[in-house]
Order: sequence, then structure tokens, then C-alpha cells
Amino acid sequence: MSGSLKGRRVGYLLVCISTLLVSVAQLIMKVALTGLPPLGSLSRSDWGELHLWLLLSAGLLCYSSSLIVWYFTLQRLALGKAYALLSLSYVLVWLGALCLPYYHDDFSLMALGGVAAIVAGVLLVCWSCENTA
Amino acid sequence: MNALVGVFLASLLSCASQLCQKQAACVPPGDSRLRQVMLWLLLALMLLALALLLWLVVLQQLPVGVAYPMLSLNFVWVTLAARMIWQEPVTWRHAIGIGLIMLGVLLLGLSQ
Repeated sequence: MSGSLKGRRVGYLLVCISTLLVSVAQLIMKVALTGLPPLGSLSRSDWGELHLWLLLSAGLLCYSSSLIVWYFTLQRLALGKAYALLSLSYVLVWLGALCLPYYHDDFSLMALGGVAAIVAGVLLVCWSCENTA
Repeated sequence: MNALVGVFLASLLSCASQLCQKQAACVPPGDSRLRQVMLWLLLALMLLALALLLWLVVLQQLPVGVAYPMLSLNFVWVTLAARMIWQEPVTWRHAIGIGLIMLGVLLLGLSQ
């Protein structure tokens, strides 16, 4: 399914949206799940706080929206390409956990190296997109 | 050991789910299009749910530093399957790019 040039451009835009949504979903669900009691041992008396459940639902909503956008992405881009681009969500989650106030993740050079490798890999995959599908 | 088999299976299942999603996106127009799309998507969702479940179980037994990089095997399965099923071209650049992405995921996993 190699679409037209315009179709592919829309496809790249859709990959970005899907990646963004799945990253936001991960960041939100992390907050919700760390605050809630362990899901395996929920008791009737202790359900945790309501706003955390709302947050978890918001995360799941973002995740399902990303799947819907993904479907339209796959109509326009080759699966191998689109899937490789999805790995940018590792980068976004890393950035989010580093910069957003809630997370306080520590900066590590190794993680920075990993992120650099992912970005370089995605650029290489993109670069080979131009002449093929 | 069992956890390693689990993470391997989880990666295969999520790859299979991607293949079904692609198949759903590729159904040609026709009378039974909607039905076929829905069937493939349903199958994709079931495989995805199974993969997630297995992944959650595995995460309780393996450190993220091991489990995370192993899940990046997905990139290999998806690329190979897309090449075999839909004849998607895999150039050298693409292959090296996938290798770099996997290295990146490995480093991210190890840094945690």
C-alpha cells in the first residue's frame, strides 16, 4: 500500500499524532498507577482516590485514540516504516519524565545515548522512505 | 527462564497484532469490506490484549533493564513480516536504522 506523495505526507503526520498520543497515555497512566493501590489487591473498602481513576481513564482514552489514528496511518504508510517511527515515543516519554514537574526522573548519560541512537535510527528509516513507499 | 520465554511470546503476540492491524487497513473496497475490517481489528485487539497481559506478568519477574530491550525484538519481527507478507522493501539504511533503534532501547533499558 504505497500511497501517493500527499498520502504519505498525511501518513507521517498521523504517525506523529499517534506517537504523541501513546506517549501522553504512558505518562498519564504512570501517574495514575503509582498513586493507586496495587491493582491485584484492590479491596472493597480501599479503592484509592477518585481523581486517580479518572486520570487512568484519561490515559486509556489517549491510548485507544492512538490506536484509531494508527489504523489510518497504516492505510497510508508501509508497516515497517510506520512501526519504526513509533519508537519516537521512547524519546517523548523520556523527555516528559525528565522535564515535567511530577516525575523527577534523573538524567543519565546512558539514557541520552539511547535516545540519540533512536533518533538517528528513525532518521535513517525516514531517509530511506523518500524513494520507496 | 520462564519470564524470558514470556517476554519472547509477548513480542511475537504484539507483532502478530500489528500484522492484523495492517491487514485491516489494507482490505480492498468491496461488498464485505466492513465485515473483514472488523474481523481483522477484533483479532488484532485480542492479540494486543494477550500481549499486554503477558507483558504485565513478565514485568513482575524481570527487571525493566532486561525486559524492555527484549521487547525491542518487535522491530525485527515486524520488519521481516512486512517484507515477507506485503513485499515492503527493506533497504540497508532501513536495516541499520532498525539496529540503531534497538541499540537505543537497550541503552534506555539499561539506564533504569
